[in-house]
Amino acid sequence: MGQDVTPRSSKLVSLPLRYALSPGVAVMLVLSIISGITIAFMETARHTGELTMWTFAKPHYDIYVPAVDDWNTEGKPEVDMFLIGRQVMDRRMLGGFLGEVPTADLLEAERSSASLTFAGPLDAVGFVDLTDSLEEEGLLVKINKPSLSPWTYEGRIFGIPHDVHPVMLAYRADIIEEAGIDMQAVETWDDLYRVLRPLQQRRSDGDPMDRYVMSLWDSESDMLETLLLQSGGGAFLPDGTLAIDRDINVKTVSHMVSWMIGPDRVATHVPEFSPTGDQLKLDGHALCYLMPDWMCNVWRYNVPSLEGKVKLIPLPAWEPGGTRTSVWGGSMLGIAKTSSKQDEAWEFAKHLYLSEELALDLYRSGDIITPIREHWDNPVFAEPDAYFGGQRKGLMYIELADSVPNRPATPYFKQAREAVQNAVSRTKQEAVAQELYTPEQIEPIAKRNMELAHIQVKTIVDANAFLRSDSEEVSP
Amino acid sequence: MTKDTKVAPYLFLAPFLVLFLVFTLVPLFQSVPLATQHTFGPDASIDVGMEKFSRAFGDPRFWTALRNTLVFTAGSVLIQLPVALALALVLNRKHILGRGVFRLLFFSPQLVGLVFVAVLAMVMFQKQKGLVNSILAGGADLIRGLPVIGGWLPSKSEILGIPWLETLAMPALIITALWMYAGFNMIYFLAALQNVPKELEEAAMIDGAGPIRRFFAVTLPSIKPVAIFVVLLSVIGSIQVFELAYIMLPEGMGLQDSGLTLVTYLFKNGFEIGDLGYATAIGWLIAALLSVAAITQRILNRSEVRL
Repeated sequence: MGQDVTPRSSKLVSLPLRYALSPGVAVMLVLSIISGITIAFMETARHTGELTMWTFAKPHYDIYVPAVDDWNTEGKPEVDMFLIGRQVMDRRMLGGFLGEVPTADLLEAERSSASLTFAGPLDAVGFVDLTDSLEEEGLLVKINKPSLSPWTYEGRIFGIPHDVHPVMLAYRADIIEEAGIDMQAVETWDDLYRVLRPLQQRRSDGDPMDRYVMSLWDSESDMLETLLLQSGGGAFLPDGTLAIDRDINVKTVSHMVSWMIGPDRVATHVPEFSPTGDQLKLDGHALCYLMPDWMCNVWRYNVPSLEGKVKLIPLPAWEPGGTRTSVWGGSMLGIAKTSSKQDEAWEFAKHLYLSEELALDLYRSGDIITPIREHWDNPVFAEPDAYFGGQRKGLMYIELADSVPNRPATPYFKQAREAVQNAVSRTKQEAVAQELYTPEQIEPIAKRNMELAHIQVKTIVDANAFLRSDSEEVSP
Repeated sequence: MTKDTKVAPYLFLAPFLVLFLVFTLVPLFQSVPLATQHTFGPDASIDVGMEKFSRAFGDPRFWTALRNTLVFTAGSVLIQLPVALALALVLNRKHILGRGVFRLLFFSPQLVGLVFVAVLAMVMFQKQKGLVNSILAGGADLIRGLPVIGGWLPSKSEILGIPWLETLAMPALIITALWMYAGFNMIYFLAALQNVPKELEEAAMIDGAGPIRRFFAVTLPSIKPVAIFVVLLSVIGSIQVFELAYIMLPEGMGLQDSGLTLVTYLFKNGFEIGDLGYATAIGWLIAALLSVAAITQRILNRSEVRL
């Protein structure tokens, strides 16, 4: 074949190397070399210590800095602490655990992150089993018992709890007390709606904003879970068995949906962590809010102008004499199995999580109650809080800490929470369509939707081949 | 042929080939056995055969995700592309004042990026205080006094409470994608329109063809190859939609799975449930869907060449 019939593309390929270094390519090459060198010499996070720790929350990080500095000046194995985005940490943690490649020695994980590690066999959990150490050193009795439950998988404990996170009810004291209503007399949810319903208003010329008693909506899965747990329900039994469709859940969902719909509607949607929600709080769109201890801090910074206008009471019970609190959120500190310095990491974990100084800083800087019971007598917790109308908020939360519901460690709690949320949403939609507004009328719809939610999550659980007795592991 | 002419192409191809081999081809081959296992790391894997694939076909949520993805894709192609073409046609006219500014405005969502647009859209679609509902409520107030429509309109509270991000996730996603990508596709159409032979248009005009006739008889056939390419890009991009839904919607999917897409479902199974096998199986099914789209485009292109 002659040269003249060579395809055009072949001619391009046969260009000598010197043509490739045209001025444009040369500029790009120079730029890439300069940027490469810059990146190579850029100052990155210091990593000189013998131990590393990852945390996902900036407030936690800031609180830990003095404790880490103290530890590092005591001549012990130096710790480098890194602040990592939660989702990034999830990926790196799970990737490290599954691939058995090093992660940090210590990882502070939120409940949804830590639970990811419980999806396989017990011996494949990437965290070190701390049960024996906690027992032998007498630490178990020092820690608030319900706070251990999210980190206890098949009877073994894989982390030290960071918090208790009891939940109270925050209310707009400026509006409610002006109306002459005594919130201390409220014992049940029925009481709450009976006494506050007269304060509801609909948008009109005189009233620029709708006002409802309660901030609760089907799009807020955390709130739904909090109330289910308070009622004695929840998606799982204490042993981790899936039980979305049990009667207590159906009843609770029927009540919650009845609050959100119909002519006697008492609930509205005020999203948390959103400027829209903050503005609605300022407008008094809802009078009452679920308030875990950590949320006090969120309000303090996001809606500072409500200082002195908000007060707390224990959650109204579902029945007279019933539980007056629940739980929302939670984190733990665990040690990676891949750590080559597990003993040193354990010593540091105790230094960080069990110290009184940290407990006080957690409360002062983050409004968080420590799970270490021996620190609860500290006078800091009895100080009046100006934001909450001078109430001794710390003591109020501590009084509820023992009653916080247990939450079993399961990798499927997020899927269960989503399925329950969808069941609530469908129940709400169907009840509105059929104009059924009382809990008794709504219950059959709720039952059907909760059964469907149960089946949906059970399908996911059943797909876990590690839970089947006839499964056979294959070699890598 | 000199030595450097032989080496040059391989040298320039090498960086891509190495990265493609390490980060695409090897994982692709590794994903084949992964889709047949339930795994929790290399030391804990159970062979489950084709169970993950058969599970997908019997999984109502997979079908919901597929349906939502196809709805989003249809919305992207049937709404976004005509809008993009219309914008291109308008901004291709020389006598439009501020033509460059409009082009920049429509293209600007691409400059700020998908995450920024998604966050803004999330704020705009909020209930009570969101811009979209506020505009709708304001518009409703203007016509509320009219005799028939006024009585039919929902109350202001109901309009302000329209749950775009909860149960109306798909319309919210399609509108946001329209905002994000209409300007981007407009650029392709603008480039194509500028290559439409002027003599053909002039000949049609002399023959008495009006603007609509000229559009269908001259402009559209001339830009057809580009249009098919843009459709393919939109279809592939839409089938892979993830970031918009993940950022905008509660739990990344809205309520009642109203915004659950295939890639979101893959992500949830792989990284929230930890079922990498099932996530991989879904990934292969998405790949099959994308292949169908690509093959269809090739067939359409071939028929175009024959024409």
